[in-house]
Amino acid sequence: MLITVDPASTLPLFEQLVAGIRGQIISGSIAAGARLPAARELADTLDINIHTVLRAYQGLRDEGFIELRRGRGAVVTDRARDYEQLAQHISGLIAEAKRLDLTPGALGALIREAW
Amino acid sequence: MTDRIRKLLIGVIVPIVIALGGAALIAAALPDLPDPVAIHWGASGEADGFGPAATNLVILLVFICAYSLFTVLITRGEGFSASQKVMLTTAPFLAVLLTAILAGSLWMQRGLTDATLAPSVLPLLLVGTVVGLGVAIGSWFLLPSTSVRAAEQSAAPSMQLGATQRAVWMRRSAPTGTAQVFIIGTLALVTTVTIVALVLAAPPLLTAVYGGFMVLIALVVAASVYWRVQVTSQGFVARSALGIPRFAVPLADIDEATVITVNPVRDFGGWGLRWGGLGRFGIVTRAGEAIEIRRTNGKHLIVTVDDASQAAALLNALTTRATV
Repeated sequence: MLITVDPASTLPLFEQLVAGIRGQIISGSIAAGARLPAARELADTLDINIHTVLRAYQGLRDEGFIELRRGRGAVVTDRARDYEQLAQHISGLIAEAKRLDLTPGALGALIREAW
Repeated sequence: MTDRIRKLLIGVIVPIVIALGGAALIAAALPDLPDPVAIHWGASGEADGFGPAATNLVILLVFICAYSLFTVLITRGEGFSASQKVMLTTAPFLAVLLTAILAGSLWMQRGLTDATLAPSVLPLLLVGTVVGLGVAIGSWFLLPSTSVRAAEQSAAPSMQLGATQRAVWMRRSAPTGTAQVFIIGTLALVTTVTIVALVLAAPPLLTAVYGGFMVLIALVVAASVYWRVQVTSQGFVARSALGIPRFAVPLADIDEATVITVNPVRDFGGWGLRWGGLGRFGIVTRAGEAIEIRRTNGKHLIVTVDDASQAAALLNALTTRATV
């Protein structure tokens, strides 16, 4: 799994982590049952605070994407959700937004307003 | 002769013809043999094991046929590596050696009334080894020359990486499900058989030593086929499940990373930690997708891992960013 953060971004680091991991779970590149890196290891390699990683993992747990188990670490849940259609809709949305010269931020704002 | 026919000739036809010759020899000797015959010799050259003569016939034919089949299986597909060539030339070597021992030892026992008088098998062992090596060397020159298949020249993948962006890629590398079942099953079977045999027959100390030995083997297997692979801002690192051994390539030592498809037997002569020749070292847990890291010193590190294109892309992007 590829995890990136950008300290120069306006988004908080834990949100960047959540977005990156969530995106890969939805796209299927992180499979159900896969174990996320240990928080300490991820914090060390990305040179960020371990509490940032833990906060991101807790966020993913609250959204139901992972389970946090003592001794087993963070495991991607196998709840029977099919993200395939959502992934298709998203690529459709992006294509349409690009055709209309909308920025990712603008598309995101439209989605938030309509929620 | 086409290459395919040469491989079949050395791997299958020659060994089976030799084995059949040995079988004919055994069949011809059968009426004149003592019963039982000597089938095992001690280090001093005196016969110390006895059994029916047909055993030798069965062992010879079954073993050579099985090895011939093995050579067919490992030479399927494109390319022909040095390790495949060695395994092919081993077929006539084994056929000569086994025929010398299994058929020769019976031939020498013709006319004996008591198998304990059987002459030593050691000269046969020596002659079989020397002749076998000669045949194997001849076979080597008859086989087609090795062709390491050109690495797939797909462009090195890369990705966008901002100046302030931090990225890490992590993945586990392990054998496929079937192979894991096979590995664990084999270990369990060998361990069980060993323990049962020891508990029944051996003193406790020996049982403990053997038990420790089996645990050691299990650890070595675990260390060579289960890996954790990482790409970080430091570079590339692959660590075994035990933590050691560990192979790290600092970013500064990396020329370029690409994705290749590995055929374990053809490219590395098997699984585990392997030298593949021409400065190529491999961590091979399964067939298929692998990351190939070309170091600035010209050496290559190859690690079979899923999602290798993402790893290679990140590694290339990090390398490019570090040099700009």
